[in-house]
Amino acid sequence: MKKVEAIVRHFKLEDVKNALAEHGIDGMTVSEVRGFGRQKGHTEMYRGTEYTVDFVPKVKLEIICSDENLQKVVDTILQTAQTGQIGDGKIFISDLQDSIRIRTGETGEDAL
Amino acid sequence: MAGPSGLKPRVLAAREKINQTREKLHARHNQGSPGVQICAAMTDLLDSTLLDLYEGALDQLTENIAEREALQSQLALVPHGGYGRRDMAPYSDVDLMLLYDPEAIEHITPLAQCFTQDIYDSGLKLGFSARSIDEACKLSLQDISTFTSLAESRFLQGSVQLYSRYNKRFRRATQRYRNSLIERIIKERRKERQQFGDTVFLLKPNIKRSRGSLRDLQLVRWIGFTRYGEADLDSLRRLGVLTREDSKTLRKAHHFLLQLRNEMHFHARGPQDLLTREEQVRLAEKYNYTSDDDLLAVERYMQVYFDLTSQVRYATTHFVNSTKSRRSWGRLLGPLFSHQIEGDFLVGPFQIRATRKGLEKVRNELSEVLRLMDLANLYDKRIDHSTWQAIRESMLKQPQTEISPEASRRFLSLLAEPARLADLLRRLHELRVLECFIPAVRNARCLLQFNEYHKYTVDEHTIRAVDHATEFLRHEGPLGEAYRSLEHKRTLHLALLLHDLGKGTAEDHSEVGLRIARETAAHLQLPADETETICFLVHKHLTMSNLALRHDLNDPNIVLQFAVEVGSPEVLQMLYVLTCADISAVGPGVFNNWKLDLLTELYLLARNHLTGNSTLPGSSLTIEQRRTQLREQATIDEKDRDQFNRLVNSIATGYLSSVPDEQVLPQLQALLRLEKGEALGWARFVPERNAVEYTIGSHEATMKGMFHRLTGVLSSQQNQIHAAEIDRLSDDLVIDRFYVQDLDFADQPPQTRLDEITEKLLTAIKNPTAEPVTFRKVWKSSENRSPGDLNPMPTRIAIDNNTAAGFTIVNIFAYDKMGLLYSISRCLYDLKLEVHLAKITTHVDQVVDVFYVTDRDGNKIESRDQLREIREQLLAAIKEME
Repeated sequence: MKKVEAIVRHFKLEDVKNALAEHGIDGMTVSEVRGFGRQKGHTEMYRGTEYTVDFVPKVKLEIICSDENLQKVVDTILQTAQTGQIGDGKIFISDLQDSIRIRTGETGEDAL
Repeated sequence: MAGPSGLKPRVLAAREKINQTREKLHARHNQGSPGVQICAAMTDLLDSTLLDLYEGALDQLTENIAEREALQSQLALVPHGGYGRRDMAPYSDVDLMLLYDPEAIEHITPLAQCFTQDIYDSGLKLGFSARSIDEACKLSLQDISTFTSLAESRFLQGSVQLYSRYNKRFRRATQRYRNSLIERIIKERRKERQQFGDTVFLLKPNIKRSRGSLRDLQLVRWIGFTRYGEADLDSLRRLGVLTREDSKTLRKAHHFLLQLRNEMHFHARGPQDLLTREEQVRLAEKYNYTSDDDLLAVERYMQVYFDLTSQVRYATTHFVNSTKSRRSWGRLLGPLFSHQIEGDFLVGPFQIRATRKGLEKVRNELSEVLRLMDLANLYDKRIDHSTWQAIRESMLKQPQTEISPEASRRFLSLLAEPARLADLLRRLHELRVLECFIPAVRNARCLLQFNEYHKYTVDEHTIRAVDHATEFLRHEGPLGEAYRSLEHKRTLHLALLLHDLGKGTAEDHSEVGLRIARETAAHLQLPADETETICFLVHKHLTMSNLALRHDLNDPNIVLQFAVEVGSPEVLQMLYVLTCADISAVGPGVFNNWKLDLLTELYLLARNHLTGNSTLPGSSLTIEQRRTQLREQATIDEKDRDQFNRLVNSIATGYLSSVPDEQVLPQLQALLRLEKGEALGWARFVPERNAVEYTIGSHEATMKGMFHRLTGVLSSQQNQIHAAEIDRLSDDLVIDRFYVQDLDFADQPPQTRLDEITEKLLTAIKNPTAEPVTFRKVWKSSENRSPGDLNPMPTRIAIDNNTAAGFTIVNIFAYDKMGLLYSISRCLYDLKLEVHLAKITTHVDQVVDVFYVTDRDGNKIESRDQLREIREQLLAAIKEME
């Protein structure tokens, strides 16, 4: 089992979600996050005073999938979230020890 | 002796009896027995069961009857809390105290052990204590929840004498410490309320602990007991401390809530007090509420619930407040401090009330109600309960549909002030006065929004939205700035009140809202332009969040279209604040910095379009850094230094970001030496824009009608203007820049052509009388467009008098055509307007023209007639070109 964490542009969320659903991935956790990497915050002028945007708003998706689904998930995100500009985001993949469905106590891939 | 399961026969019997009786009561409940009766029967059941177990335990622990009677005379069984009150729901906890004489201490532990074990084993949830009179009284003074529970004590079995000694002591202690006790009771309740939601209008209320719930009814009892020694509602009414109306309300709510709680317990077969969404749907169905296109059954049911609990909240709050102000010194000194105001209202040390004559007035005239509110705010006093009730009653009896101009004026002026506005609106809403001014509020009262997103009912949500907006007053950053600098705050506040009132029908609530906004504006007799703004804000209240949170703000077209739709900087500012306040009022934690950042970004980007300001895109330097750089690089005479520094400080970002760095210094230095009446011109081809840039420097004094003459020259020379900017610098210097496409040349025009046009431009400035333009009637640019081509957006004119201090901003949105700018500038000239700043931008075919104008004397255009004329003339001029 793998955990895929993808930081993407906020307006790409719908596209990514729909594309993943088409590939049969319909469970995910989404959070509104702010951060920066290479795309630094920027300074805006507002009525003569500068207003600094330290962090750039992004959306974080967390998807847990089986090992064989991993490539599909990653490819789908890559295809849909890409604009080619700095700030498209990143994908992190990690190994997952176990998962448990709280209601039934099922474990492993059954719990996905 | 033990039964087959290892339990004593008396425990088995008790268990059997409880289950059977509970089933019977369930059946009675389903046949519609009132909640109070079921609770009383439940209490009787527990009384008899506990007595059986108690007798059994005594039998087990004593040798003979004499010993047993001796022990019994030193003990008393005292139910307290809900059990003492006889308010037992089917699965409530049993609160029981074993009161003992200290002489019997050695028997207490074995008895308590045996007795409590039996109670547990029979399946009841028990809160048990064994205390002497001293302990009970001491503990209740230490711990306020023990106090409130013991305030509901009654005698069940044992020594009556012992019980009455306890009762006397407890009451004495209560009397002695009543002020501090009352304070602690109120504080404790406030803490609990905060934990369980501090508003009646929670979408998942806890019927025992949330605001307006059973606990508030108990609060009245506890305070009644502490202050007057009476907990019962009827007794409190007879004492004259609870009005007949309030005691009726509370009794009604008590019946309703007990029945509801019984139903929830019976259904869940356990102590279920949380009114979850599933439970709400089930109850609505059970009580035969029906759905239709407009409202779901559950929404109707919850409307009843919220209505009742908000009445409880209201009555309770009043009762609590009135006990606080009945402190003796307040009553003694009250008359000394009272003074009259205009004969109608009396202001005391704690509250403000209407005289008999005043009462007559507030009953019949809304503007007097508002004046009372005004005074209460001014003196920071509560409104006296009887005055309050008189108003509410008369509103309920005969809602006023007509409002006088005076009342409307007062209402609108209240709306303009952010201080305590939300509190005031909430009070007006409770008094049913708000709906006289905004009739649609009536439909939103207690209206549930059955989705996972909203946490409050519609009326509560809208008032909260106003509350959040007024809190932005202290917000740092663009949001606070946007709210603070809004000149017409009442327009925004009114739009906030109206924005969701279209809910509760099958139709799109923005569309219904638009109609409601129009009706309300007519009802309040608002001026036409304010009506338009409010209608726009209500109709489009979801647009900004939808765009900012779901779309790519790097796409200039999205931002531009949004800017065009909004039209003026002031409306944009209002929409921005409204959107943020609306999201904040959805529920705690919904509005976060993530959303704020995105909304702010869209706001600033769109604002740049509408005010003609731009940032330094693509530059790593801030404007201040760039200015410092320029000051350091310049090599000029010391005598010119001051003037140069002023000049540098006055240049705008637009100029710096468009003109290449190596040309900025020569241009500024040349301007320093410019004589009055003279003008300077530069021209260069800008490959990345595929356009020629003409820059003209001159003195403002030369400027009369200059913009119009320059556009005339350019247009007559077959130059299509894509963008134009006027920058006013220090010492009356002005720089005009035009970006044009020379239609006589497919690519880069030769230098001779640029020189020729520059010369013509300078001539036109120096000889203002020379009649300039003759057009060649060849529209090269329009030939590739068929006549029926649809315009994506209609021509619009928006005029904003509030964003810039000394100027009227005219925004024009139109479809690009050859000579368009000339027509517009000609029209502005004919209207005797002076253009001080202009920003013309063209995106594909859509033109956004921003003009900062004044009249010839340098004043803003304020008169309605003149503004209308400007609008009409401009529209006519643009239309003429089609």
